Amino acid sequence: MSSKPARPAHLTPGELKKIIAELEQRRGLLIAFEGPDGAGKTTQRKLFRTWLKGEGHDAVTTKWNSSELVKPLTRTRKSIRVLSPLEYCLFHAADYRHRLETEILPALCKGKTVIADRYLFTGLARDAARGLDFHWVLRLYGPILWPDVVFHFAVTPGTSAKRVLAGGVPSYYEAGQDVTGISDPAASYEQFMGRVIQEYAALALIFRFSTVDAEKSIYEQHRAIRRLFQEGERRSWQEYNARAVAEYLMCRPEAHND
Amino acid sequence: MTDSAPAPGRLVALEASHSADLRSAARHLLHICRAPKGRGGCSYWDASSIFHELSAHAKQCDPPSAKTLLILYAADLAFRLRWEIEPALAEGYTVVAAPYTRTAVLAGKAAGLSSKWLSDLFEFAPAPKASFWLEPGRAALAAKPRAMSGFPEFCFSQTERISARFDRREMLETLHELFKKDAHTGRLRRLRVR
Repeated sequence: MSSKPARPAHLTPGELKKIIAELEQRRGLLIAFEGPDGAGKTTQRKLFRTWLKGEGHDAVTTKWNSSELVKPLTRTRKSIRVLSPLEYCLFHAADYRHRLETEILPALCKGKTVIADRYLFTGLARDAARGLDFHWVLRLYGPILWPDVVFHFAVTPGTSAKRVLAGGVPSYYEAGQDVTGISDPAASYEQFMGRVIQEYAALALIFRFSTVDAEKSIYEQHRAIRRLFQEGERRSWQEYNARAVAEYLMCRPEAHND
Repeated sequence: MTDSAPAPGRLVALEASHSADLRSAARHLLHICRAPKGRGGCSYWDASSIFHELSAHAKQCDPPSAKTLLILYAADLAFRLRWEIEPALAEGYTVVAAPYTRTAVLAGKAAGLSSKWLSDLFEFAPAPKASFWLEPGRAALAAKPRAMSGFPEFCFSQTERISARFDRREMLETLHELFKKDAHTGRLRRLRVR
């Protein structure tokens, strides 16, 4: 079986290289906010976006599981609790893929900074916690468009559970009841989130995320994020993301002309 | 007296580039493949209704690419395996899956996706005992492809909305050629239905 990376048939390797180099010049930054529920990502994402705008960035946000095409399909199936871990994984991967091609990459190519409130690492952490093969899930999301920065919000399962349960009962899938077999959502959540947090910790180590101690105050976390962002380096598309961008141009041949 | 477990069933794949006659061909193939007095059934595309639901609101959204649709095809297949195919096989039935994985893999190849990614995607699906290709007749080749008649038609009707480069008929022709190659190499056996 051939393992050649996909290349748009209408472009020669030289033309493709040139387009990616041109896009690199004008592209915006991709910044991902990752971590378990109750880690305070949304609060920090909003504060960060306001700050970024003040710094002159044209920033847009994309949220996990929000594709207008795929979300209605997922929502219906979640409501009747019919998704197996494999189906759950595939629906979220399809949702991500559609947003990647129709929201994230188009915005980046227009020079906008994209803040992802959860990125594909959420899929990796949750699917691995549900017992799916990590490497299979990683390949499913490939070729990966690597963000410039990934902020990882680290909390203990206890803190995550305390914050989430203060806002009400977690949903069936949020609590991982599909895999824990525990009928009490709160107990199931705490057990499932323990697994998810372990997966996040491994991902943070492997992919060198910028970890934020989410047990600290909102202000301290925000200061840490600004510092990590300012210290961070832009990740070269030619070096890291050429395959992902090539596949985007193959699936959307006119995208780079927009 | 103890209950003996039924003999494991037989999974047969029927793949197609042109899906208009696929259901009748699947029933015909089931008739040929199942043992005398043996039990069997067919499993068809979109048993989970993903694509039916998608077609209802896809026009209001940015069109999905072949890659997005292939992931959704995998979700539909996972559903078919869980609710239709695997329980039937466990009961000793013969199951004709029409289509199965090869149609999706070749549709992805026709759209330019990596062969490695495509084969990885369907790693969860058990290998069929036998695989057939429904060779389209002249009438099927000449007919206007209707979007909901099968996965390749649906997929290419959506990608056609992305770019004129993805002309539905041309993509189906490319897929047809890929199937011919598979049949030529013996990977798929030809099935012709009058």
